Amino acid sequence: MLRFIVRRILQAIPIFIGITAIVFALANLAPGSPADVVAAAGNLPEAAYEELKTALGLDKPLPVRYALWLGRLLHGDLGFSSNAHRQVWDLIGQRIGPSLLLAGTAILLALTVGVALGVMAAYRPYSRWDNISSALSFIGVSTPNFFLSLLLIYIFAVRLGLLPAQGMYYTGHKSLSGLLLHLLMPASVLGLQMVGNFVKQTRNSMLTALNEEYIKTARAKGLGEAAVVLRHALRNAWIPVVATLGMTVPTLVGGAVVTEQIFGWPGIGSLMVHSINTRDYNTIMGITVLVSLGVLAVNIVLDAVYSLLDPRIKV
Amino acid sequence: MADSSQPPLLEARNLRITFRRGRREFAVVEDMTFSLAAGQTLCLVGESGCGKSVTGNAVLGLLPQGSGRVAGGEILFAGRDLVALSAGEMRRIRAGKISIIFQDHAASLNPAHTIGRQLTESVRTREKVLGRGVSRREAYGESLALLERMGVTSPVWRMRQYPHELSGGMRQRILIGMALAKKPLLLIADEPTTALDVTVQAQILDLMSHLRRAMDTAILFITHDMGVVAEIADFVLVMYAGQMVEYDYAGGIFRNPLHPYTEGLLRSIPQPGRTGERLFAIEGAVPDLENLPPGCRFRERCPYGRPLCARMPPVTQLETKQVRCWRFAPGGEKIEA
Repeated sequence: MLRFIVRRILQAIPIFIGITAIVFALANLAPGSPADVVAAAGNLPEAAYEELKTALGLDKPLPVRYALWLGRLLHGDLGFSSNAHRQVWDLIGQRIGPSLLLAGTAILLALTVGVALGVMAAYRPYSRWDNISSALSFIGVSTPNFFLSLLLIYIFAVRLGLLPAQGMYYTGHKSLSGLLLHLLMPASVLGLQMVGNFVKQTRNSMLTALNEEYIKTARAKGLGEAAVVLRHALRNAWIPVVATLGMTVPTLVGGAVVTEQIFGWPGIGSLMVHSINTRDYNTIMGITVLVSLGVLAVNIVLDAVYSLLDPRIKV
Repeated sequence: MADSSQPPLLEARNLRITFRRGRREFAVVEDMTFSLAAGQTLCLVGESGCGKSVTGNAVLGLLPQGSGRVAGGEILFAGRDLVALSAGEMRRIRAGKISIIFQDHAASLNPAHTIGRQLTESVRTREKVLGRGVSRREAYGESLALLERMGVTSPVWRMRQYPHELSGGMRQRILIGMALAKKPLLLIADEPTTALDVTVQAQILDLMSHLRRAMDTAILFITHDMGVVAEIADFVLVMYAGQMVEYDYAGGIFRNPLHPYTEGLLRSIPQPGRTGERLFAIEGAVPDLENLPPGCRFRERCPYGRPLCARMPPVTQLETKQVRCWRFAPGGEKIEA
């Protein structure tokens, strides 16, 4: 197990370098630079503009800049935000909590609802439950999340006035109930986007598992249906669901960018959008590092989880 | 037929089992009547697809959900009709009265649970359904003892192993152990030795007959192997295309087979010493149960076929034997003439 994890970490290093190199190139090759953003704010003299570029290290060729950035990264230095005038670490540290909370809630929601619906659908295929859950997952997967966000805001915030449309807390006081109310809509939007994948995977793998001989053995033991379905079938149906979970994480990051922006959620996603708009290279790269490390780590962990779920898989 | 000295533990009367495919429903077992007393072994014999496993599964209500059902007749267990039981009552029967062992030992154990967990689950379900409690430790001890009785080596270690880590013979022993954990009155063995090596097969058969003697369990043994039948059967019921064709004491089947299918089955057993001869095989294949021709179902493969066989032969009682063939039906000859 330890050898497996070490091997997977070593394999992840070139992937990580590839990701950061591509994002670094894309960000730097996009028109405009941090210096341009400053220049656009007021009329900056030509000399000062050049000086600023040199100070930001923008006068060097791209590969050199990447190498320098990578060198700093190895020392744990993500650099300075050209926009917020603070350490990128600080910025991220401030935003990571809300993002993890939102993403975690969304995943938990999607996984619980998706697996429950998938199990029911597989237990009685082509029943009303099956139809409802496939309709729900179809709607979830095919509705753009900005549209769904606006729809929910219109219904629950504007029309019914039940839920807050923006932010994380009510202004003035931080309370758990306020947090939960603010969390409800963005987490539902993000979760609904993923729920379809879980429903489909769970239904498929449960259908397979329920047709296995050991299910007949379990029934023949005199077990109740709940034990047969959950203890014997679902236990063997988890692997494809967990694999889906791994593949969902990048979708989640993308979805979070839009959803956080719309709901004014103070997370990494909205920081990302803001730093792209201001060509804040260091912050863009800092977030890239964070997200790619996160996705790679989740996948390594999930691969290790397979062997816990299925003893036949040796890692 | 069967022995009238003992009241039957299991009795099937005019059992009819149907399967549904799309909107069509067709019978896979028809007009099956048999009985089995405590401590006896009845072998259901026939080719693949003749309905013998379906019959065994039907006893425990394990027909494929949604497609298979008992469409007629009754299955009496100690006088109660199993077909009419509620789900809860059937669970009680499964948990503590009737056990079943399946053929595919590799697929019949849950790959994700340890042997210990699956064995103790059987013990605990039995106790729970009987309304008693049993502690984890007691269930563990009982499971360990079961493994020892099954002749499983290093049982403590086996309890922690997963099914894929065991050999086929070991897995089959575990399955038998799980079945016996319920102290069943009736054991249904659905080709338990078919997927095993001959040597392991002999050990398993020994084990089963030993357990039957020790516990007075009735066994409904489903097989297509006449060699196995010869070894363990008290009674034999030969099935063909969903019907009983011959039913007798084991001795009667082997010494005096009447139905041409039984005859063919017995002639198909390779005999030692008779080398150089072509091995006998019954020509043709089992008819499609969805499109059965009228009349005797064995007609197309029967060496004695005659025009009368275009009508369904009745079941004829001859001393201890029942046989479904016009050759032995009273008046069969006359109608022909």
